[in-house]
Formats: sequence, C-alpha cells, structure tokens
Amino acid sequence: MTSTTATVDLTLSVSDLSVRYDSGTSSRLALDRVSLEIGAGEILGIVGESGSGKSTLTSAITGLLPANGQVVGGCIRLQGRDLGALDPDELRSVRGSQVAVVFQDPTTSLNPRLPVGAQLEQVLDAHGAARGADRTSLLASRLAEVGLADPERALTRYPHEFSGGMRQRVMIAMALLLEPALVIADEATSALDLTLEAQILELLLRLRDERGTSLMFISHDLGVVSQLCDRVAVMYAGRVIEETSGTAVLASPAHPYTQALDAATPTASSQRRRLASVPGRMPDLTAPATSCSFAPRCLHAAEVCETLSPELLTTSTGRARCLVYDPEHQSTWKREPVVADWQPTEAAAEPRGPAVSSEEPPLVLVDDLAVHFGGTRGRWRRHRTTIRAVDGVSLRVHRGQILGVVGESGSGKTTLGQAMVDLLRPTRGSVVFDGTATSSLSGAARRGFRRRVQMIFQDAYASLSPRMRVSEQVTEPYLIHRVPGSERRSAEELLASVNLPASVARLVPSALSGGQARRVGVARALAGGPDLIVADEPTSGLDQSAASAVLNLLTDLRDRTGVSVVLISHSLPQVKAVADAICVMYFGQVVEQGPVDVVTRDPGHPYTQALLALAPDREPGRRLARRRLLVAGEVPSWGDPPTGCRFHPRCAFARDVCRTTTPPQVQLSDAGHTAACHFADLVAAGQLEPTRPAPVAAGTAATP
Amino acid sequence: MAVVQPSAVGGVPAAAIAAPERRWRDLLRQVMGRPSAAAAVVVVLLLVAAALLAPVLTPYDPTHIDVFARLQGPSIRHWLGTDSLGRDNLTRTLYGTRVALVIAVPSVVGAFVVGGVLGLLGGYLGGWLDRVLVVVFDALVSFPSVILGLALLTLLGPSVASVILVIATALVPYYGRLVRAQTLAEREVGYARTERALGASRTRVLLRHLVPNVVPTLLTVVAMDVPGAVVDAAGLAFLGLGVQAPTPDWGVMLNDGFTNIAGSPWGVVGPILALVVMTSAFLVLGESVRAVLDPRGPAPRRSRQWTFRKASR
Amino acid sequence: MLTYIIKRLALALLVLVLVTVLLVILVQLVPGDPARAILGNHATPDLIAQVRANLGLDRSVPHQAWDFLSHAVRGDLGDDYLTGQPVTSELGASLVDTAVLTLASVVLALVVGIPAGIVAANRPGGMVDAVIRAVSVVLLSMPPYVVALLLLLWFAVDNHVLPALGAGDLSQPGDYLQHLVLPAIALAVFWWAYLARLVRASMLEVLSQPYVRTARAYGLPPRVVTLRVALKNALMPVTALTGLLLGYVLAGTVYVEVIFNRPGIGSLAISAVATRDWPVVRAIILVYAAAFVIGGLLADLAYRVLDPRLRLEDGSGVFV
Repeated sequence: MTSTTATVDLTLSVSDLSVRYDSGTSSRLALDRVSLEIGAGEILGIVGESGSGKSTLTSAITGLLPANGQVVGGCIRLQGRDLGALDPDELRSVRGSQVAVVFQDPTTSLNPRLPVGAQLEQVLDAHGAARGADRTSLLASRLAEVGLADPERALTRYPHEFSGGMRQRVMIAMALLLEPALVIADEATSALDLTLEAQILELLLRLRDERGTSLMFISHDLGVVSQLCDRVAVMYAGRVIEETSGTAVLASPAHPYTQALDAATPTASSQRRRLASVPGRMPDLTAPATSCSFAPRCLHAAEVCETLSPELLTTSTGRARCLVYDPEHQSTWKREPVVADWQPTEAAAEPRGPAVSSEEPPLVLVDDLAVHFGGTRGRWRRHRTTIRAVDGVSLRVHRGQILGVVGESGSGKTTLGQAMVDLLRPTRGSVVFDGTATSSLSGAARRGFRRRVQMIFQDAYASLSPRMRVSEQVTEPYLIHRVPGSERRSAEELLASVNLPASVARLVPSALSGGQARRVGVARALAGGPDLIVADEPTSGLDQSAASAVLNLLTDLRDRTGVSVVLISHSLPQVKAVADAICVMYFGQVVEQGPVDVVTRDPGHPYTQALLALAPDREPGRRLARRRLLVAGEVPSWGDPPTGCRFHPRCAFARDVCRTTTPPQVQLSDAGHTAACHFADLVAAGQLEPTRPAPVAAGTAATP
Repeated sequence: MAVVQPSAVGGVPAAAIAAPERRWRDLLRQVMGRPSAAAAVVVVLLLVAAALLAPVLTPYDPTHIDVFARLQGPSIRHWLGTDSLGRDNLTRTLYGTRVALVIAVPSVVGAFVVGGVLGLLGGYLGGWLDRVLVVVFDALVSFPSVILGLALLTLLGPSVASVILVIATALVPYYGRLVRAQTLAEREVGYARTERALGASRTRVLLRHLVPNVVPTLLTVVAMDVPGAVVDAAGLAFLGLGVQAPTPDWGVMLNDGFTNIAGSPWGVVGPILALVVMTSAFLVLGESVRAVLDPRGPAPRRSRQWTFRKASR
Repeated sequence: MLTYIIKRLALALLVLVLVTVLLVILVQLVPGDPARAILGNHATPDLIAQVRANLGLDRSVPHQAWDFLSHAVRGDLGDDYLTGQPVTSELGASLVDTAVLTLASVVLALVVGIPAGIVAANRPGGMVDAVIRAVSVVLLSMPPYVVALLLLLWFAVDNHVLPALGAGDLSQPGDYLQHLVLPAIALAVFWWAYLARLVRASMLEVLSQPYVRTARAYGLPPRVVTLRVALKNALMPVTALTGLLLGYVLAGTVYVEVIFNRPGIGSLAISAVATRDWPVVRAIILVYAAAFVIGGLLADLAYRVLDPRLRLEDGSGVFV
C-alpha cells in the first residue's frame, strides 16, 4: 500500500471533491469542493438536510455514482491510496474490504431471496477469502459480535425473518466482515425507532472502541450526530459549511445555518418553546458557488454575503464558512451570531395552554378503550394471532389542550387516534366526545361529529385526492356537510390561515412540497371549524425546519381558535416542545400520562425515563450518565406477549414482581400524573437501582 | 440518484403543476413530442381514415366477384392482387379495417364497462361480493378468447354479435381484476380514508374520488387493447368461427389466402400487413403514453399504477 | 405451505367444476332448442331426439351437470355423434401431439426470450437494447397465425428446407422433430418478444433495488451482481407468467395445427365445431381448462417455493 507522509495516519482524506449530475439538458453540482479527513478510530459525523449532498458523498467514496454522476474535481484517498487512480476492478476490491457501507433501510438493503449466511459468504467470495470449514465459525462470530443470539442458526435465516433492529445488526456484521478501515453509516439509524437507534449507536461505539475502525456517520439528525460523533461536518447545498466537535455542534454551533438547524431540533430542554423554522429552500447549484449559498435565507446576511464565497474560517469551536468570522469583515456585524437568534421571541418559556380546571368536563373521554385485530375470524381460517393494538387505554382531552401521544412503532398510537375519530370500532370500552359516546352516533349526529372532529393522516400526499385542485380539496368539507354559504370561508382564507399563499389554491397535490401538502391537510381540517384535530405524525418525512413550521402552526391554531389537538408522534422531545399534556404508550397500553412539565421532570415509568434520556441534549457529557438507561431488546411479538408488566423484558429495573403481576396505574400527583409501574414512586424519585449492569463499552466517546 | 433520503421531497413533474383538465393536453403534447409516438398516432389516424373513407379510396366493390381475374399477383389495377374469386385484395383490406374496428371497439368498451363496474364494486365494497368476484375472475382470466369462442360459437353460430360477445367475455375478468386492483390500491393510499374521516359518504368517495382517479388511467390501458381484440376477431374468422365470407374481414381474407396459398401467396399479404402495422402502432403509442405518465419507466409487476401523482412520500 | 397447497388444489378443482357446470348451463342458455341449435336447421327429428337423449337435455341442469361430472371423472366424456366412438379415445392420440408441440414451444420461448431480456437490460439504451426493443415491437404484433402463415409461405411455397405440413411420424424421431420446428417457432415468436421485454423491465427494476446497491457496495463482481443477485429476483415475474404461458401457447396450437395440418386437438376442435359435434367440443374445452388450471397451479406453487417470504408465511413469528 502506498502512502504519503502527509496522510499517513488518516483513514480517509477527501480534498476539494466536486461531483456533478447531468440529466439531459440540465446539470446539478451535488458536491462543491468538499474536503474532509477521518483519522484512525475516529467518528466523523456528516449532517445536512435532504439535498445537501451528504449521500452523494457515500456514492463518490465507494465509486458507485449513478451513470449520470461524475467526479469533476478533487481526490479521495483511502489510507493514502488515491481511489481516483484505481481501475474499476481494483476499486471493486476496495469496496467491502477496506470501506464498507451500512445503508438506511435494512429491510430492502438485504437480498430477500438469500439466507443472510449466504449473503455474507458472497462478500467473502468476492474478495477471494478462502473457503473452508472455519468460514461458518467466522461468520457466526461476526453475528455474535453485533449482538445476535444463536448466530449459527441466524446464518440460515432469510432477512424477512429478522426484526428491523436485527436486520441492521446483520448489515453491520456484513460491514465488519473483512475488517475494513472505514465504515460509512449512511442514515443507518434513520429508519429505526428511538430505542433501537440508541442500541445501534451503542453498538457502533463499541465496535469503534474494540476494533479501532473509523466511522463516517451520515445523518439528517443533528441530535443523533451530536450523541455519537467525535467531529461533525455540516453540509449545505453541496458544501461543508461548518466543522466542529460532536459536543459543540449542538451546544455552541458557529454557522448561522447550523444554529438554525439547532434551534429547529427539539431537545431535552425545548419545552413549550417555539421551534425555529427557516423560510426558503436549499438551492440547487449548477456551478461552483461564488457567494454564500445560505445568504438568501440567513437572518444575518449582509451585502458582502451576496458577493463573496467565504472560506472555512476559524471559530472558537472549529471552522465555519461564514464571513462573520473573517477578521476583514468583522465590522459588518456587531456580534457573533447565536442559536437564540433563530428562536421565535414571542411568548417563549411561559405556558400558553389554557388553565385546565379538572371540574370542567373533558372534550374527549376515552375509557378502557381496546381495539383488537385478527384472531377468531371465520371458521375455516387459521387462528391468527390477535393483535391487541390498543388494549385498555383511558385518557381525557380537555378543551383547548394539546395532548401529545408518544410511542414507538407498534405502540398502538395510530390505532388509538383512529379509534378516537371513530374510524375504527372499539373492541371494548368507549370514546365519549362532548358527552356523547361515538358508538351511539348515527345519521345527522354522526355527520356532525365528522365535522367537529378531524384527523390529519401521516402521509400528507396520499390523503389528498390526486386529481383535485387544492382549492376544491380544502373546501370539500362544505359540500360534504352542506354548510350554508354564510358559514363558508374561501379557499384563499383557509390557506392563509395555515400560512400558505393564495396561489397554492390552483395547484394539484403533486405540485406541493412536503410541508405545503401537510398544511393543505390542516387547512382542510380547519374548514368545518372543528373542536378536535387528531394529527398522526404530522411531521414525518419533513426536514427539521418544515417540521417546526407545522408544529408551530398547530400551536398557533390552538391559541387562536381554541381547538383541541391530539398530537401523535414517535418523538418525545417534539411532543414536549408543543404539548400541554403527554401520554406515553407502549405495546398497546398507556404507561404514563400527565401534564407535560410534571411527566418530563419526574418520569414515573422507566420507559418514559429512557425516552427522555435518549433525547438530544445540549449539555455535553450527560451522554455517559444515561447510557445505563438503554432499553434492551425490541418490541415483543403479539404471538407471545410478555406476562406481568409488558415492558419488563426490556426494562433496566425489572424485578420479580414485574414478570408476574400487571402493574396498576399509580397516581403520582394531584395534577393527574399516573404511571403504570410497580415502583412508580421510586422511579419518579430516582431511588430505584437498575438490575442490569450498564453497557460494557468504554466511555471514551464523549471526548473528541 | 438512487440513494434513498429520509426526507426527500420528490421532484415535481412538469405535467403535474398544471390544472387537471390541462393535463390531458399536456399529455398529448408530450406524447407527440416523441417521434416514434407521433408516427404511431399518424398511423392510427390513417387506419381510422381508411375505415371511414374506404369507398372513396378504391374504385372496387369489396365483394365484387370477377372469375376471370382469380388469384392474380400485384398489378397496376390490383396493387395487392386478387383473391380466389377475383376480388381486389387491397380493397378488401381497406374495408376490413371497418369490420375490425366495428368488432373490436364495442368488445373492448363493453368489457371495460362491465368489468370496471364489477371491479370497482368488489374493490371498494369488499365483503362476500368481492370474494366471489375474485374467484370467478381468477378462474376465467386466463381463458383465451379462442377457447371461449369454441364453446359459444358452436352453440350460437358465427356472427358479428357472437364474436363481440366472445371477445368481450374473455376481457371482462381481465378488466375486472385490473380495476379492482387499482381501486384497492387507491382505497389504501389514504385519500379515500381521509374523505371518510371528513364525513363523506361511500357513494361520494366512490364517484367523486375513486372513479375519477381509477378510470382515466385505465382508459389508456384499455385503448391499447383494441388491436388485441382485432387480432382475436381475425383469428376466429380465420378458423371459420367468426365473421363469415363474403364480408371483407382480415380473418376471412387470411382464410381464403391460406386455402389458396399454393395458387397465389398474395392473398395473405394485405391482412398480415394491416394487422402488424395496426398492432405495432398501438404498442408504440401505449409505450409512450406510459413513459410520459411515469418517467421512472414501466414497473413490471406491482399492479401497474400509472397515476399522474408520483411525487414523493 | 401444506395448507396453501391444499387450498390451492381445492381452488383448482372448484374451477374445473365451475367450467363443467358452465358448459352444461351454456347449452341451456342458447335461445331455442339446444339440440336444434347444435345440429343446425337441417337436422332430422330423429337425430334431434337422439341428441337430446344423448346429452340428457330433458333432465334438470344440476342433474345434467352431475351426470357429466361423474362420467368425466371416470374418463367418460361421451360419444362422438358422427363416428359413435367414445370421445376420450379420439382425444388420446391428438393429445400427445398437442402436448409435445406446446411444451416444445414453451421451452423454445423461455430459452430465447429470457436471455434476450438479460442482454437488453445489461446496457439499457445501448445498441443491442435498441435492436431488441425494436424487433420485439414487430414480433409482439404478430399473432401465432400470422407467424405460421409467414413461415408456411417461406418454407412451403418458396423453399423446402423443412417439412411444413403434417406432424410426421413419432416412430421416426428425426422426422418428427423436423416437423415440430416450424410450428414450435410459430408459437414461440410472440413470447420471445414478450419475455424479452418482461425480463428486461424486471431486471432494470431489480437492478435499482437497494440490495443490489448493497451487493455493489460490497465489491461483488458485476457478473455475480447481474446473474446471481439480480437475475434470481428478476425471474420471479417470469415464473408467475410461465403457467399462463402454457395456457396461451396451448390456445395458439389451434391456429398452428390448422395451418400446418397437424392432427392435434386444435384441428380436432375445429372440425368438431364445423360439424357441430358438441360432445367433442365440450370434451376439448374441458381438456383446455384442465391445462390452464394446472398451469396456473404450477406457477403459483413455483412462486411460493422460490420466494422465501411467501414460503414461510405461516411459520409464525420472527426469528430474533
């Protein structure tokens, strides 16, 4: 292996890399003079929104750019070896053996028609590894290393027989197979639930510590990157705009764009605070940038920003591509920009929700609600497992309240939402809306209910009729409910109420951006003047900034019209940022609920505690303390639900009683704070000792 | 680029930005922008013109018998020669276009109406109706018309109406399945569910949303089945099971040409050319329409969803 | 898997029973006297009475269906009107001939069509791809009877390289095979084009899948990626099609047997229709239906076997 003295201990060095995509008449510069370095055993985070070029980086490094993409400048050195100088076959032999990639979606990234053992063997074959009896033991040991139980049997299994988290572990085992110097994790945890993501991050950290593998961790999530990475490079419009340490990127970012991202990221401390939302969109570059690409969206932009393209300039925590840090232009700005510049000023920190008196009857009263699927259907059908998607949930939504329902996939939160708006029939229990049980509604009363209660579904595009213009869609409720003309509002008015310009009215759904489609959905929900909106993951698939805009919109609406909102989300920090009350679900049941500040301050359930601990935190160093709270394993299968407390197999505090006895809802305060845990009082007081030892990995991760 | 991004908002195709009614015009413009498709459109129009203008285009009567000019080769007077009864092959081929379309278009349209209604009802309503339909469709969908033809035509006797019935019957389960699958897909994608949540009645969702979204897309598919019906009808006629002599039908001509193939090979040339040209033109056209509707290229399986809406999820 | 096979077999049987019942009902639905309709206008009253008795038309529909079914199960499909012979014995010899032709055509279709698709997908937009696509448009426009007529023109009228008429003699394998060539090609041509396009599209679809990207990213050689990773997955639609292919090719034999004057069940069917010999037609339709059902059954089962995700559908639970 050749090496030059300058790059001798660098695993990867990318210098001035430019990549262009040509399609027919147009071309796009996806990477613009990108330079990066990763040292041995170092974890470099690459963070950026969609379109920033971060995934192109993976393709360029592995030499797998699509046919219309080409490297137009710069060079990539892997352990000192110039990859651009290799012929295709040499490059092929580098892939998989010296640099390996873990892709985003483990479900589709593994060949569905081959057992995982055979897929691993294909990799060995491709790199000329000797065949022999010890192969199986090598493969099995790799699977064991990434945490698969019974690895020998696992080798004979097909990908679909593994759960999502296990599949991603298999991918990681494949990446480690030939002990590459560099592993690229390209959004490797983005498709996973929070607790699984934490496990995978833990695994990556451990592997780095044990093996000294360098890691390039690509993600759109500033919080995740800050938890894992030693150093971080922030990308915007094909350029690296900031380089800093993993701890500083969330605690004290220097570039205004990173600061905006930070302000838009819900963190452990962002309670009832408006999240930042940057107007505008990331530009597509066609030629190397000659000015700051972020300037059109930047709060701090000055005239010079439009004419000069800044270099990476030294800041107190790293380097940033911003003229603020250029001594020559220092006089243009009074001070250095900070995260708080992006935080909306009005009504920060103080609770905005209406004072909820417990005497007033709640708008929605859910009592012991259960929704089961499958089971005994038809005499001839096989007895399928009954899925108790929602199993005994009781909660209330007060007028003008925002209730956050938090849970991971499989928790039953979406089913609960649909049952609340009477799209699913309860198997047991009831939903009482404004004094009337939904099950007793019929005819005109049901139509009235449909007008007063609105649901916003997760997939914004799909819930819009593809051939109807926006104007027709948002006013359709008037036609459905034969609303008299005097009570109607025009499409433009409705769109204005969700901050969309009137010009959107003429468009068809496919012409809308993700955030716009979402807001059109909200506008339609508002048309009938609803009393309750149930929003199911209203930010899924949106970039951070667009997500913040939608969340802010929901709070504004509540403040303005007094509508109640049930916000269903997988993200506790997000819910914490906007909700008044919170309800945490696990495996079909509510494990904890209560006012948001009480629940997040003194969580009484270990699951809530873990979710809170996993939230990104601006305070560096807290990462180590909470690693012992990791939730082990995965959501159990419905074929074999756990006895006693449903959370006990994954609980760090589980004791004998948890395995045998279903916990009661323990009242923790007068404010309606309850938790379904035998030891809720002790957990809330922080006095319960975990029964499981903390993960073995050494704690070197926090220091860059 | 092929790399999946977590929050990508897909590119918006030019055709989608326009208002709905303008999209048909845009579609036409885009299809005509492709040279092969434009040529195909011209060919299809020429065929229709041939059908309409046959009496003007040729001086001969398609059934005029001239025993002195039997089985001639091409000449100035008879460009494609004459058949066993001395009739002009070119004239008969031109008139044959009429017969072909008169049989094919009603067969396809009728089958689509019947199959479409059944498929929509089954797909949207579900329940026992759907289950019965699925079994029946599955059982019948692969039966080629020639075999149905054997049974029906033996009993009914050959006639234009019987041929239309046979071809339509063979197509009904196919369209039924197609429309049902598309309805199911559309029902699943959420806007139908959302409409229900808004309080819209089943009828409203079906008529106002599902039909406008399912039918136009499938109409393009259906239009492309016209040549298939022509080919089937000609095949039945060739076997003596369909349209009977002396009607100037391509299948009848093929039969006559085949019987006398040792005497003159020219009898089969006209109908073969007509069949191949017509089918090719429709194929090319269909491919272009599909490519314009779905720039990602044809998806071979996965219930062909050639919807206009391709943006992102 | 076993439950699936049983379910699927039950469905196949149900379809066959349905077809049988349909055949019985069909005769009833014909306006006027079915026996007269079958025999035509010039039939003698004697003959009509004979046909009525023979078909049991005087009895109720369920009764007729049961009669037909129970006889069919025992291998009795009725007697030929004209010859008085049992229909099954007439079918026997023709059936072998048609089966050989069908299988030969299916194999020929697969052997040419699939590789053509792979080659075309190898470099989409390239010269080879363009040629294959252009040729396939023309071939797709040619139904079996057109191809058969063209081959007949070429070989029987212009030159005599291959025998064009008759099926040859099974006892002389060389001669028999020579007679098989043109009819088999006539039936396969359409499917060359169809399969080439199907395989091409399927390959391109699979090649854009994330797991193919994974294979490339782990340095698997291009040949392995194309043939071992992609092709295996891309052939799934072909598997699903092969059952149908069997049925469609079989239907095409009607034309090809008539044109090449082969004594198969297609020829038999056409002559039976011409003489309105309903028992023969009915028996042949049942044979065709059985072939379709079996083809569909085989394809579905093959699909199950090849796709592990379906194979283990009821092997409840996820391996963790």
